[in-house]
Amino acid sequence: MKPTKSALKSVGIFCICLVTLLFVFRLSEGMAEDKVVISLIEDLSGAWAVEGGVWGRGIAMAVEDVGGKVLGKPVEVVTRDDELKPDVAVRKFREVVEQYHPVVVISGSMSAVQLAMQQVAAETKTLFWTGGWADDLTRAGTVNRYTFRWTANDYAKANSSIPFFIEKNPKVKTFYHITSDYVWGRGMFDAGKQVIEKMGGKVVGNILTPLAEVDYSGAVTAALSANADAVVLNQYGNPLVKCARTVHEFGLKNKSKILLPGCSLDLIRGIGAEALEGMFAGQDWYHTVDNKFSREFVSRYVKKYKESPSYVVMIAYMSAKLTLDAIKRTGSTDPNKVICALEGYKYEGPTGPETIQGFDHQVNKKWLLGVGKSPKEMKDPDDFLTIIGGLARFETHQENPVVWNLTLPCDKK
Amino acid sequence: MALTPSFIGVQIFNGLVWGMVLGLIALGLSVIFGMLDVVNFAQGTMYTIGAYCGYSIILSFVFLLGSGQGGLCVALVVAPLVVALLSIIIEVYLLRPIYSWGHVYHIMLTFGLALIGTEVVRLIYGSTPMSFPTPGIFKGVVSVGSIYYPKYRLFVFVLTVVILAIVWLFLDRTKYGTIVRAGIEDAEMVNILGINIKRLFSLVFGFGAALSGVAGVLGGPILGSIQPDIGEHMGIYTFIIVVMGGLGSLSGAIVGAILLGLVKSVMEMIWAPASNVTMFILMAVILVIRPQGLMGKR
Amino acid sequence: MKGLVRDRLLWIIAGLFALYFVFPYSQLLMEVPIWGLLAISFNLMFGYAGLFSFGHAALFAIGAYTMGILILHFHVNIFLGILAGSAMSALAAMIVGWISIRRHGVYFALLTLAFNEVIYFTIIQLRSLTGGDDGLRGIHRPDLNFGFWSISLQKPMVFYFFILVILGISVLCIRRVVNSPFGSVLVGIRENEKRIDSVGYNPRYYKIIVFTISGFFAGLAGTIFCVNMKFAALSFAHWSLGAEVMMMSVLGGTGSLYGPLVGAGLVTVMRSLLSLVWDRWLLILGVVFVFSVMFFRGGVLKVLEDMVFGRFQCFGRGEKDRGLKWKHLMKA
Repeated sequence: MKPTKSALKSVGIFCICLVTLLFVFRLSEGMAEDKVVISLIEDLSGAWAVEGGVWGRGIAMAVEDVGGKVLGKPVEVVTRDDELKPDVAVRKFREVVEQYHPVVVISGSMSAVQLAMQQVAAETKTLFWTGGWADDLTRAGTVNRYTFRWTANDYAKANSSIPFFIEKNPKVKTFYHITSDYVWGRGMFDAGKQVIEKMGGKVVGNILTPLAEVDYSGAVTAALSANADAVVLNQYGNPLVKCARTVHEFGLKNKSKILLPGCSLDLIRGIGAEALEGMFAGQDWYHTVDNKFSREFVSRYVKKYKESPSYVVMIAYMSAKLTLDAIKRTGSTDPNKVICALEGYKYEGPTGPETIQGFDHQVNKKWLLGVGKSPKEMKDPDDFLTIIGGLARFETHQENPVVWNLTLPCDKK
Repeated sequence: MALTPSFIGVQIFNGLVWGMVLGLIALGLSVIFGMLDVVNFAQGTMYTIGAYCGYSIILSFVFLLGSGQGGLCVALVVAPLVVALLSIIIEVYLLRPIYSWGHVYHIMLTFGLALIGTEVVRLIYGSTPMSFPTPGIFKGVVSVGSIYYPKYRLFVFVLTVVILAIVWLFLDRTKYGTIVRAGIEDAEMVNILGINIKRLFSLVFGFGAALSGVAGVLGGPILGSIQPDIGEHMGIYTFIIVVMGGLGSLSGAIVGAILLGLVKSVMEMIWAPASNVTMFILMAVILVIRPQGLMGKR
Repeated sequence: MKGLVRDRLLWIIAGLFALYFVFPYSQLLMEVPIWGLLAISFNLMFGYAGLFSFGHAALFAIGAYTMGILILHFHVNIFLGILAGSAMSALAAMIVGWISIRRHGVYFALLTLAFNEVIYFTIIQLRSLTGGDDGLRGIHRPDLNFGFWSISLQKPMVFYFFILVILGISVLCIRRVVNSPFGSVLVGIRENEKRIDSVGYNPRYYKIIVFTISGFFAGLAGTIFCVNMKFAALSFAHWSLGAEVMMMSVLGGTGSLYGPLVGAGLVTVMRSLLSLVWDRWLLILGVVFVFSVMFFRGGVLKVLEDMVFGRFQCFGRGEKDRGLKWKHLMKA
């Protein structure tokens, strides 16, 4: 039986319509009106989807700061889901560049995804602000001149939180670590071990937990039997929540002081005040930090979104804000000029005075340490921590000998 | 980390507790497979739904009465019922038509349902991990000598043993239990003998799902927090248990669960990152050497 | 020449190439033939021989990592890389096949899942070779080097055409396999293994061979993907990729050679476009999938063809009907 004439005709018409539609759509993309685009590529549907939603808010607030316009052009935010997969992230990055030519791409999920995206940033000559923790992202050999990072890397987290922790707990001499068997877990452990030994302490043991671990009783039991003065949880995300709660469940707090070098408000909410009480938690920024910048930001955010912002919001906000400000300062969206404007820039930020280091594009700022309050002391449902201060300890140019592949006009010989 | 007898003992007990929770889910999976010949990929999702139901119930108790007292008891009864009801509806409308299509289609359909289930949970509760509160009376630890052990885990261990005993008694001593066991042996025969096999299938499916639901409520405080994809993580392990013990064998599910718990504890003491892989390799070895599982009959 | 013009495969390749000029997301389109090839290789086992393999993600990753390592450390010719990657996967498939073939149905699937986990773990542990969790980065895209003449693959359009050529050649090979007596035996094994055995064919032998062939093409897809992405990541080996490939095959239609390709296109495009609209796009995908399992056993391709042509056979000498009629294909 041959295909009927009418069937062929209808298929033919459908195909022609579809093709025309796609063609018109493709042409129209090329003729997009003149605007400044910020692109957010985050995990909106995968295992880290909890963080994905808040990034957009941070960026929205930064756009609000400039009144929705920069250099006379409207600012648009384009969001894409990277599904926590490096290949999807890379594809979306390239797509977004092809379609929108964004001035900056902001992202912050797992290190593997960030490292893959970083390559594309150099390839497409697009500014890239990463929220990943892996040291490699700003290390010699991997970093490129288009990458910037506001959040502290593993080295800084360990080197800032542990000395400060020891300062506040002078009796602590022995440490046991529960480390996430992933890049930043191991990175934090390695950096932490160096610092501990430099300060005269001793690491009595380390247990590696797989990222997909659901039951931390084994790891916590191992920590209990080690009888260390302090237990460090090199974890993040859901694993940190589970690990911290199991630590509380087993009463480990009664034996050892607990340090969480890297934490965030979203996770703290999951851990709960009762479990967090007495634990030391480190983060980029906390909403109760007492300076003008933070206070203003928090009150605006709370008014808009009816809840307290976590430091993830701040990463997104600062990444977008610093870029937009740099564009305003140089009067151009040319990445070369913007990079020059960003390198070495000093400003008053949410943690106090901050600097964008010119040699590795890591922002140098204080990494804050807080202590969990008891549930009775909480003034509002998000008042989990008492911030006790922080240090800023980052690698120097000597320790991280970055040499840029790209030479820019602002390089002085 | 000194390998003292008490340390080893506690680690093994940790593994057993976790294994028992998984064992409940595995029991449900085994019963469903044994009787309906359906490989239920959505067993883990039933766990998730049970856990979130339990969470909501306990939270509403805290909200209404100021404390979670009694919340756990109610959750242990209501959550499994909700899961069972949901599952029976799915069985009647989606699974029944495809019984004759074979294992592969069952896997595909239940896989799709698992996907949908996880997304629906995300839609309702969001993706943030929620801390599952430990009921008041079980908070804290017992100290035996130099060991601290959480009261709640002891409670879970005891309760799972009790539940398993009740299930065993039901299946072994009651009239209905005998019908179920007969159905597992030979469903067609039971049908010929005049028992409404369709209704039996639905009830057994619901029962299997309810076991997952109970595990979800119990497991919440142990895992510390729940997130929408928790079922996926648990689900994969239950398959390993059931295969090791023997698909369709009830005692096999329990033996498999204990074995899995032991493997986890031991690997955690030797080489923690390899605990997952070791379980899979063990499963593969058993599958190749003794395909009917440790307790299954061929 | 006339026969060539009527060949369905040529039209498909030409159509896919033409799509490049109209479809707005060219990066997305580049991935479709790769996933399509992977899905077709999966379906060779699943649709034709009735073997549900959960290990195709691992085979895909082996191909990708082999290519990546060879380019990074040895700067090999792209053809050598493709061959080496595919051969490694084929070897792995043969070994796994030899072990797993003893069991059937869901047990076979679980054995392949165990294999997948072992490969996943190995990739993580061999950190110095594979980059572990970070993956293998900085892989450049080699030129097509024929010795006397080389073509640069840097331009997306050129590379896309290259992918299509590879797809075309691969499908041609698979088609040969499927339309040969070997292919008929595979279908026979799926329908009634005992019978095939009693007639004198050794099912074990056939199953291992088809697993090896399937593994070869899965690895091939992996090598191309590595060169496309310019990196190799751990996520390539995660078992959820195997589940996605299964979804693609089922949605497109497991009963034909091209069904999985259609499915791959559908799933890849759907997930991208849907994610722009709703974060919960996986829900829609899940519903569509369940729907398709229950009501469209032949998959989308069959539905389309039924609508337009009324019967399976149509233009061209591509699909020789050797008893591969739709009715028989989807029996459990």
